[in-house]
Amino acid sequence: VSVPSAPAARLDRPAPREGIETAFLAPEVVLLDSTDGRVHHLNPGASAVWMLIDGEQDADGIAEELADLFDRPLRDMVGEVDAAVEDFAARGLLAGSRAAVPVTRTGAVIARPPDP
Amino acid sequence: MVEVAVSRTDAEPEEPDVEEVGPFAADGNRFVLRSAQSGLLSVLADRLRDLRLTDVVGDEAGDGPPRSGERTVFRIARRGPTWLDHPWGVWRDGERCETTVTDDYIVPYVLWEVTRLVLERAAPRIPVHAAAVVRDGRALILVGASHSGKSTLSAWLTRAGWGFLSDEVALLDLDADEAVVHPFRRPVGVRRHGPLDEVIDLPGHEAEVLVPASELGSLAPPTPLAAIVCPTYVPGAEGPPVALAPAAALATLAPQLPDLATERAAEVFHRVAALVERVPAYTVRVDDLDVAELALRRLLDDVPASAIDLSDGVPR
Repeated sequence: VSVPSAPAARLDRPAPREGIETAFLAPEVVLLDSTDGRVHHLNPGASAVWMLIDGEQDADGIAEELADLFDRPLRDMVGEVDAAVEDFAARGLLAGSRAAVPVTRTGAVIARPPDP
Repeated sequence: MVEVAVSRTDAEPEEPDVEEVGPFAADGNRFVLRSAQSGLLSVLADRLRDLRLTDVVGDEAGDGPPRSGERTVFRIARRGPTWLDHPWGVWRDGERCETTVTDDYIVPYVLWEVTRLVLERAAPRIPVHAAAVVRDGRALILVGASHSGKSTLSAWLTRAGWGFLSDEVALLDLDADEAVVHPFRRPVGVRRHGPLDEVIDLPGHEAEVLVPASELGSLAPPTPLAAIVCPTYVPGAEGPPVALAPAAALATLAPQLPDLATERAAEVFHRVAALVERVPAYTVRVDDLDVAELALRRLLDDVPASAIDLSDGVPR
């Protein structure tokens, strides 16, 4: 069985993948992958990065904006943004990315009771 | 050697002397049960008595006014030779559900099919895998995975004077100005040798007995939601409920939202996200059920009534 390789995520100008729903509940973001029902709860730092991901700006641009916003050294912010974007791609949250671990769509959470 | 061949089909059997019990209503979905096995029908009619339309006085028939004139028929048949240990089959409106159910499992299985009916037809309400109870006209939902103790806690609270809405599925109506929890009055699954076994007489011998909530206390009507509570059983634990930030509340609730696996996923996700911004959520560690009851009573006293007003800015 040959498995097609996942297309590379566009990490230069990252954008949310279609089907990813964003709920911003300050200061954090919760994401729903509506294709498999999985939910991702981002910490405040990753949430700030996610809210600036729009397919227009590259990672350096996001880092500059956040460095200004939080009054942090740019070089620190670049590393954090790169790490966050790579993590988003690994989770399959970015356009062109696919989750590193294949998942099936979440089933009903209310399971049948076990047959004794 | 004698070989015995058992031939069974999945088709709904034609039998003489089929009896019917009902009608029942689960979240307004009318249904009846049919079988030639009158003993089983009697047991089911007794365990599902809180869903009987004719047993409830007033405008809350069953657990809600009928959604339509449509009526679902569950057919239950025992098939095969007497020694067969998986003899029961269940059909819903002629469609096969399951045909290899054991004697001990048939009653919980029928209840599961009723639950499935409610989940499938819940829209526009949002079903949450949660128990729900009421005190002083305000509802708490007790959110948790299977076997997290929410049935036991909701049953204990009902015995302590809280109103019962559900032990398994809370149905949220977010279309009104305030979130309202609608009932699904399933019988409560009470485990033998559990805390409730010490205070009520459990019939039969099954490890888990389905007890109509009306045997434990009072049934509550649809009630505004005051708070979301996520109980976890921790032996020896004590302490007050701990507030959850809205994002943490949404992340905790999400795995208990069956509709996130359906076409309604995006809509439900955003509506529940708006809900957790308005309605407070808490975790509470539960061991002694009387201590938990007191903690939840105090929590409800402390939640301001304004917390449940959804009239400002909730997407419709």
